[in-house]
Amino acid sequence: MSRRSLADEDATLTAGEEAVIYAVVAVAFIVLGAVVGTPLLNWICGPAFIVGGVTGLAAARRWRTARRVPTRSRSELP
Amino acid sequence: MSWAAHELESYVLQKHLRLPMSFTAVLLGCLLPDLFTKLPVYGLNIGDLTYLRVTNPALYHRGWPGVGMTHSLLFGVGVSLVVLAVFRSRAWALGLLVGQWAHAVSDTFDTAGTMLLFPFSTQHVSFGMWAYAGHAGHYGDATAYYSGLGAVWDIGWLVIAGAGFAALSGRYFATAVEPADPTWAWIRRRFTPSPVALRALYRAFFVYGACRIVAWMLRARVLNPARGEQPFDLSWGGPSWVDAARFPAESWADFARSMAVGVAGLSVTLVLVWQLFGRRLWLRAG
Repeated sequence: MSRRSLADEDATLTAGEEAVIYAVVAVAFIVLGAVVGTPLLNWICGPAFIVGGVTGLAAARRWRTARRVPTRSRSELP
Repeated sequence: MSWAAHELESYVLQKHLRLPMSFTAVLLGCLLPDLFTKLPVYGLNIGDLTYLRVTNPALYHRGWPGVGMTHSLLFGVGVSLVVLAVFRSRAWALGLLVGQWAHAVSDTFDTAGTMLLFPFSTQHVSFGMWAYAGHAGHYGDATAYYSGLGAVWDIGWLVIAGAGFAALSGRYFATAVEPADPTWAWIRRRFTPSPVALRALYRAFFVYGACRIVAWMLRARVLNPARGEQPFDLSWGGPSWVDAARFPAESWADFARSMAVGVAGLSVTLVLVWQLFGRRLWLRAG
């Protein structure tokens, strides 16, 4: 799958699904941050955790969808 | 010092000021005064040992001699002029200036305050709302901040930033943030991120700031084994159980004299800088 097609699929993520992903990442960050403290809550690791978590979960969802739904080529689309 | 407020300010300023400035620059400006100065305040902790820690964190961080000039208004002007001269970007110069000024002003609300008018005055401007406790170490400072009015300050910024929730939407990012900042086009070209990743990059410091407030409050008020002796205290300048760093003037007259000299010096310098080369750099930039 090319980078462009990955981007196209990400664009199909609904606002609700995206909100759920953010909520999961936020809860994980709060719990881990409260326990771990400084190493995670600093200006580099903290935002990196958020970006990594959101893109990682979005990629995981894409992978699961790709496994469930057979892919159609562009010529088959209406 | 303010904690999560510095991250949240950037979203509020970018949305409400309606100036043609780069969001990335505003964010960087909001972080700039502490970016290279915070490590020696708390030191580098490895095991039970602490390295690189200064003996007087408050004086080093906010005062003179020290790196307190990073929290002055003129420092922001200097950085913006350099950016304007080198990169010829008005959006970046303006964003950095606004962000740095926001940081310098919001830090006046703690007991240490900032030397806003440095180098014309080394007098700290402070409203003394919550205790500056950098000398108590990272966890001590966090516990003090989130056990007093600092917590209210951060939550206030979270509410203000959250009230403009539309600023976090994909539509706002695509129509207002991305076109005003060539950085996003560069990121698109260089890394070809998915739209989700690009939006996550834009929203990262908001989510981080919001979660950081909750995480530190949990740590300070729930997980902290000394929370019994360190109660929640909303008194002005509190919490009272921590020794707050202060740089008071000898008298009100002394403070007024110092401020008058500072304001006059800064005003004259700003006019001269604008007339001599600021205006030329601004007109030359795109």
